[in-house]
Amino acid sequence: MKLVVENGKYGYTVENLLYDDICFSINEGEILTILGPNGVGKTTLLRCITSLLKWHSGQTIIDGIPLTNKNDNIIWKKVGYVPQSSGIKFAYTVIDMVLLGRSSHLKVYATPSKKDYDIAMHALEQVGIVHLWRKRCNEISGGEYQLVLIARALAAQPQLLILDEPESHLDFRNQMLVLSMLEKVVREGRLSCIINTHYPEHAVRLADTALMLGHGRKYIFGLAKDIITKQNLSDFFGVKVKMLPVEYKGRTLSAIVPLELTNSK
Amino acid sequence: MKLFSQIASQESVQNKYRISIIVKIMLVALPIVVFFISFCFGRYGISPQNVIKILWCNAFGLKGDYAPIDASVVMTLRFPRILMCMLVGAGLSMSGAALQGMFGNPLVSPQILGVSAGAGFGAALAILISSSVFLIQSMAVLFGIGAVILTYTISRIKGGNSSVYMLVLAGVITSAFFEALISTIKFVADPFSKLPTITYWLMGSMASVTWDDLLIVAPIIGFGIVGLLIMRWRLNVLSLDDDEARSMGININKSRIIVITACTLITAAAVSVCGIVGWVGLVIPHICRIIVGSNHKNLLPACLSVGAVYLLLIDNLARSLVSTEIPLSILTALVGAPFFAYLLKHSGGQWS
Repeated sequence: MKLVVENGKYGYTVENLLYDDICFSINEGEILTILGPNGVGKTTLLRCITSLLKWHSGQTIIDGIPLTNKNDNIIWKKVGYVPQSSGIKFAYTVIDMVLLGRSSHLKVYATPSKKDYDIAMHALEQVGIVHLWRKRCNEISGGEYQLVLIARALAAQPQLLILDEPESHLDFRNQMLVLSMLEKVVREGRLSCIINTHYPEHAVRLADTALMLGHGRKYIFGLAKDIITKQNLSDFFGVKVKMLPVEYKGRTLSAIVPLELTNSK
Repeated sequence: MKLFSQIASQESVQNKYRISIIVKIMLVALPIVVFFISFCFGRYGISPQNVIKILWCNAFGLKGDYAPIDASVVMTLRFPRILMCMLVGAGLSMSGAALQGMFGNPLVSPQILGVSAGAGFGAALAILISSSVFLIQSMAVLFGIGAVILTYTISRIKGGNSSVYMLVLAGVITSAFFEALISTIKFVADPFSKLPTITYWLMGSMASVTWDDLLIVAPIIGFGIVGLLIMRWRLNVLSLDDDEARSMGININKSRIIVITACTLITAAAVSVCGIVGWVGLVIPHICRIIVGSNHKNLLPACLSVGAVYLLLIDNLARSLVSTEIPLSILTALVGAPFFAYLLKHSGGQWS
């Protein structure tokens, strides 16, 4: 699917806008990463895109159809959203948690059918944790729980996955686990994907395109390799960095070494 | 899908996942057994054989060789009372479980939205100005519903959608307000006639339940129970954070209103016949989580069964322990609190 944001404008107060006339798009099968310092509104942007918050002006267009107040539920037939994990309130089992992803396909009074169980198990299989299906969510690791949330989004059979910092709070290994699983799922399923991240290296590793947000409503959008540069990182984050290309198995990764704060911040 | 079909053939995913058959049988059988046993309890002893004989003969319109007074105790005093206990116990437990789920907080009980305080005030006011049972009951229901509407209105005071936090805070406000009004009524009530009635009534009792009460209240509570059973899987979704739940593509406001309406009807109707019965709605859902897990699809039916049994057993104690009736709220907490502490010792709160 193709998602376009046209002239998006939003702020929690009118004087203090987070974005003014922001434009970007994502095509089928592409991965877009959103980067930016704390407080520039990365999560807010995801909420605006998905109409959890309403744009002040401008719009989100999905496959040529603009989202309006009336039709904003159509987005959840096509989009799977993985919010920042907010802790576990009730210890549902893994399969129960993933089944919740079927909600948009079920009537208010319905309970999941055999087919829904099949789809949920398939989603668990896709992220490689099918063996955990009977465990309770508080008995598994943080990385595994993140994969459960991704599986829950996949169970809705979306065409676009939106993830809010999926690898935050995870250790080194679990970050790799989540990222590589995510890449596999997205590439195999020809899904589109939008990821917020705090790690420029992860963006280099995964992304086709990148959107970098800065203070004072500035932003840049383009191919990941054009956006994630040492000049831009210095401009947007106020950190002087050195980027070292790393060749591994035919792909170019990047080591980004922070050197010092720049004076502009 | 290869891996899945392997698993499915090995352990039949859906079946293995279900709660064990023994637990299921217990949950169905226990209420039935306790139902029949309960006819024997009370200051006036009736043997089990006689109870069975009386029920059998009355069900089929036969004549039996039992004392008419026994029949009268069983059929007009204990039968409606037992049914009412089961209905109220089941209803309050399910409301508690549903609201705990919806608020994502295991400390919530059916009182949270102000319905009990509102209904209690309505009843106290009715007792103060008259002694008509019908007036007491209808005032309780009306003020209970009114209190929840007030809570909901306050929660949206800032405009837009009401978040769960706003609902809880609005419930606290409404409850405090109506509790103060209840105190005011107690303060001005005649301390020799009205005050004891109000106080005793607020502590909860099934002593005066008749078939007529049951006829009025059963449809209301039944409606609420069916509503909650219908919503039982959806409650899992409602227990997520607002954004998460909305991103599941459901209309959370509509679903929430259905749940709130069902819980309000149950609680207001319960308060209208038997006063404020505390603890059942708080503790039974926890006990049921230990038995069947957190999934509301199983939790609500379990609460229906265990809640009915619990309140019936408590009421059996209430009418047979000492020569006067003990108010229900005293016993639900006096028995429930140590039992809950015992469960906490063994589970460490891990189930929630």
